Amino acid sequence: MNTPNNSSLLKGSLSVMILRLLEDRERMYGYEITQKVKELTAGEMAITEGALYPALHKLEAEGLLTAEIQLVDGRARKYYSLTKTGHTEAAGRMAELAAFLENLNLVLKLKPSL
Amino acid sequence: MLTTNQLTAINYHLREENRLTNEDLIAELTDHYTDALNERMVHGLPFESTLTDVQQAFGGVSGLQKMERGYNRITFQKYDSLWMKYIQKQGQWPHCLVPLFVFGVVYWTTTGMSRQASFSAGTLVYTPWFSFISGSIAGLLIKFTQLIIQGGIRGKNFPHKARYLVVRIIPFALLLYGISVGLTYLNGYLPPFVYGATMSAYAALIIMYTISYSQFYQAVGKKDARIG
Repeated sequence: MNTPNNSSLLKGSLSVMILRLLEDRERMYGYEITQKVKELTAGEMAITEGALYPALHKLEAEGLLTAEIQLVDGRARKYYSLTKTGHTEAAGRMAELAAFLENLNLVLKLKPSL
Repeated sequence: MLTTNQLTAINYHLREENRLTNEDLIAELTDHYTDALNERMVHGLPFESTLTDVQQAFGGVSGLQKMERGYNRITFQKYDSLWMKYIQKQGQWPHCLVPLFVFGVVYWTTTGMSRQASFSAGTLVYTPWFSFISGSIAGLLIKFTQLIIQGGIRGKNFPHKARYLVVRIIPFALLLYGISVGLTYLNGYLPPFVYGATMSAYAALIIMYTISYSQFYQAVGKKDARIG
C-alpha cells in the first residue's frame, strides 16, 4: 500500500515514472497511468492522484509531453505522449535516478562499524 | 457504463461540491472519475460511496482545490511564455514596422509641442495616454467581471483566466500608466529630444502591449475552443 511515508519518497520520482511509462507505451491518459503503476508493482505502490495531473500539466508545459484530446464514450479524454525532447530527457532523468538509487543503496547497506 | 444522471452527478460533484473552476482540469477529472467509478461499480459497489472513495484518493475537497491551484500556477507559466512569445514577435521583422512607425509619428508630432512646466494632481488625469490606458483597464475589469459571473467564485479558487487578468494583465496596464505619469513629471527636466524619444518609445511599447495581448487572447481562446 502507498503509505504517507513512501508517497513522499515517490514525489521526487513521479515525473521520471511518467516519462518511463510513456517511453514504453506510445500514449497514455491519467487514469491509465495510475492503474499501470498499481499493476506493475502488484498494488504495492500507488501514484497520488492529486500529484499526477499537475505533474502531467508541468511536463506538457516544459515541452516534454504533448497532449491530444479524443472523444471516448462522449467525453473528452486527454492522451499524453513523449515529444522528441521528452524522449531525450526521459533517458537523462532515468540515468540520474538510477545513479541516485545506487548510491542510496550503498549508504543503506552500510555495515555498522565496530 | 454510467447513466446520464450519474454523469451529471459527477459534474455537480466536481463543480459545486469541490468548487473546481478550471475547465481543462474538470474535463480530465471527469474522465478519471468515470473510469474509476465504472471499474469499482462492476464489483457491485454503490455509486455514492464509490464517488466518495475516488474523491478521497485526491485528498477530499481540500486536496482537489489544492491540486487545482497547482495546476493553475503551471497554466500561468504557460500563459506567460505564450504572451512573451507574442511580445518578442513585435520586435521581429516585419512586425516591428508597426511600433517603429508609431515611434516615428509620435517623435515627429511631439518635438515641436508646447510642454507642461509644472506637475500637479491634475497631471495624473491629463497625462498622455491616460484615456487609452484607463479605457484598457476598464475593458479588462469588464472581462474580469464576465469571467467571474460565468465561473463563479469558489473559495480560494476562482476562474484562472480571471485571476490571470488580476495578477498579470491589469498590473502591466497600471505599470504603463505609471510610466506615462513618470514621463509627464520628468517633462520639465529632460532635454526636448530625450523627452520626445522616451515618449515615442513609450508609445511604441503601448502598441506592442496592445497587439501582443490581442494575439495572446485569441490564441488562448482558440485553444479553449479546440478543447470545448
